[in-house]
Amino acid sequence: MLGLKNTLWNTVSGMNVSQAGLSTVGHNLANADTEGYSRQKVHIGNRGPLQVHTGSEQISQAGQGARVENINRAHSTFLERQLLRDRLDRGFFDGQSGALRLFERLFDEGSSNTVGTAMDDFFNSVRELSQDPSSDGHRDMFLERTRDVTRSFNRVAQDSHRVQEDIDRSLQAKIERINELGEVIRNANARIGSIEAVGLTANDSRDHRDMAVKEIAELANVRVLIHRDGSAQIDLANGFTLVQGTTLASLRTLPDPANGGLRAVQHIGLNGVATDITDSITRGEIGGLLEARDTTIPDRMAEIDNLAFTFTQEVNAIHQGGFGLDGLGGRDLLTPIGAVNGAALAMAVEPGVLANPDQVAAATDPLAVPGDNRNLLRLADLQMARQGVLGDVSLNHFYGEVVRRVGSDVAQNQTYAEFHQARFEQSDALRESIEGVSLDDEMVDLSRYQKHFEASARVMDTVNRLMDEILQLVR
Amino acid sequence: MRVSEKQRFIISQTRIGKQRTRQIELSEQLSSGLRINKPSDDSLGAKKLAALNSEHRRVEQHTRNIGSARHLLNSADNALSESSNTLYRTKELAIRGLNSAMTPADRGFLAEEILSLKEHLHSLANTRTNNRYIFGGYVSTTPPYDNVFAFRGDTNVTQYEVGDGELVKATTPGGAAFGDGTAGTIDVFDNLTRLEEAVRNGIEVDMQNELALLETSLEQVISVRQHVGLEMNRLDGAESVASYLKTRLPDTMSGIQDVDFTAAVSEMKMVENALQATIATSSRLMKGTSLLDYI
Repeated sequence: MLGLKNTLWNTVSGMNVSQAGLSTVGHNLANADTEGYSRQKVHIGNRGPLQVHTGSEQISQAGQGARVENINRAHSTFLERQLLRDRLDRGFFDGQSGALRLFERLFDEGSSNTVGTAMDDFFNSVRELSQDPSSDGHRDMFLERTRDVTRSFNRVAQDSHRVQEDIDRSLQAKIERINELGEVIRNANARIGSIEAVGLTANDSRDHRDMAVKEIAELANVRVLIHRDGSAQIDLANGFTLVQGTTLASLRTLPDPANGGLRAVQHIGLNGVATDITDSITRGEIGGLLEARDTTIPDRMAEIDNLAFTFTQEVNAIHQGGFGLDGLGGRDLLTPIGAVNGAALAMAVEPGVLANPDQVAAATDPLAVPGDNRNLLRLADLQMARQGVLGDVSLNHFYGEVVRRVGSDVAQNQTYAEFHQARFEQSDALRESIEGVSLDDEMVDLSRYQKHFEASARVMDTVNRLMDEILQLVR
Repeated sequence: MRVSEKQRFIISQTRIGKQRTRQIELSEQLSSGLRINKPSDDSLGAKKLAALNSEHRRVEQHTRNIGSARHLLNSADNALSESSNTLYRTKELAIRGLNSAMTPADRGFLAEEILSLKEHLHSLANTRTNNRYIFGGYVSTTPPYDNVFAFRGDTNVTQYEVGDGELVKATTPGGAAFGDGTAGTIDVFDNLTRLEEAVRNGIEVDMQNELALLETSLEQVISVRQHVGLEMNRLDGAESVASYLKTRLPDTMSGIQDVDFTAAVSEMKMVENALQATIATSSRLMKGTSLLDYI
């Protein structure tokens, strides 16, 4: 027998479901602007039927109303994966491009006294001195210009190292951030585990965890595995696990003597074993920073070192062949440098010549001083002379080529960064269109659940009146 | 496509942001007048620009060298011209000494005058400008002719670079003009000393001999002066190349680095229009009537 009481319970269940729907609409609207929020949807199912006797021998199934099966988030695994990849690429080029912009400033022609202009000034002061090699003033000027060249090389070497150190600081902060995010994910794993163990879906904790994963993806190559128990395993840089279930590994940076004291990234695994993973981080912002720090900048600096070394060698070779005002020859103008590596930083004017300008070797004939300027004419010719070790181009041309490469590195990175930003925006728009909150949708749901509630209330009203009727009968 | 609430705002934000960025870039270019402000703006252009800049600086140095060389050559030319005048004057005096009506006292006066002309020639041969003696070869800091008129300089010529691979002789070997005691040159000072003695003593045959030699001395000075003239011509050539480059190089550099104002201004206008349209549509998007307004 189906009773009125049964009807009453059905109605109540309908009202409950409507309320859950309204509450979810409220939740969605409240979070319409929350970063990383995926809209939630109430899934309604009917409660299992009751077997009732509807006649002497008939048995029927009677509905028992509705219930909230689950509240799920709208989620596209495919798009989320795509976005993770887009974030990695965008982060990589963003990171590299930011670092290289700092590096580029060292080669800005607008800023006075670059290596290029200092070399020009040097050769022009050679020509100036060649007008009158006996003049003390011209000799002092020439040494001043020589010192400017060495200083301009020193400065590029120092400043580029400073850029690398700036990159390092940024690297440290980002590695620290990964550790923080790892902790967020570990905690989210714990919450999700306890909520979902009882058959619920931990929508908000999952959103929270997804946000942290996305942020890591901006920073370094990451692989995410969602286990059956709902916990996420985060692997960094080719399989170095950061989070597994509720256990957390960590990263740290420490100075690497093999890389000029710049910081290496170490992974300290769950078992406490430290592994250097610097070379394995190839994507994301950290990957971009490392690429700039360990490849692009050192490549350009190796070229600058090569230029400094060649300049020193060639200038000295000519200077040694000449004679100072004292009639002595075989002296260096620049302090000889042992190795190409680090030449730009080591470059200096020979202290002896600097202290005694008479030693500047302007003459090719020790007996023809002070008027002999022939060695200076040879030195001036060096400016345009092709250098085999520099790829058969002149000193200035080689420097111009370095500047061009720096410029094109930056420009190319910028182009890639913009491209990946655009791609990211596209994917994100797609994701938003699936996971984002739409006011219109929510308004429709709002009215729907309102109507449902009103309808249920009407049924309850009717049952109430029927009850009254029955009670009237008794009276 | 389903449009979420956030999308409407993000789209407005990114679109307006992009156009504003372009607007700032363009205004930077327009206000600096330069298309290339850093190497990454146009790396190939920046490289060319650096090479042209370097050439421009070199041309300026060449121009300075040309100025110095011209000064030295002018000084040499003046000194040599004055020297030949002095020798003409000496010749006149010696011819007067040949006159048989001359008394020994008259000839004494003539001899004195010749002596002072010789001193004048001595100071001309030791001409000094910019702290250097111009006729001493590489011996530039001490007088080429000492107190007893002996040559102390050398035969070297100081060359200046006045163009790429272009050298001119900025100094003149004084020995070739005034004599340096080597065979093939006449020592002008010896010539004058003997002439002065001959005039003073009234020995006609010596006077005739020395007068003939003086003629050769004159030719010697004039011929060196002609060489100076030739170098000055070469210098003119180098100067016209340098001044051509000095006007041409900035033109070429402008072509590479300057903003095409017409293009930049019209793009600026375009971006402005697009920005206005975006702002207008964005405000509609954001005001965006939703069902909310009707329920």
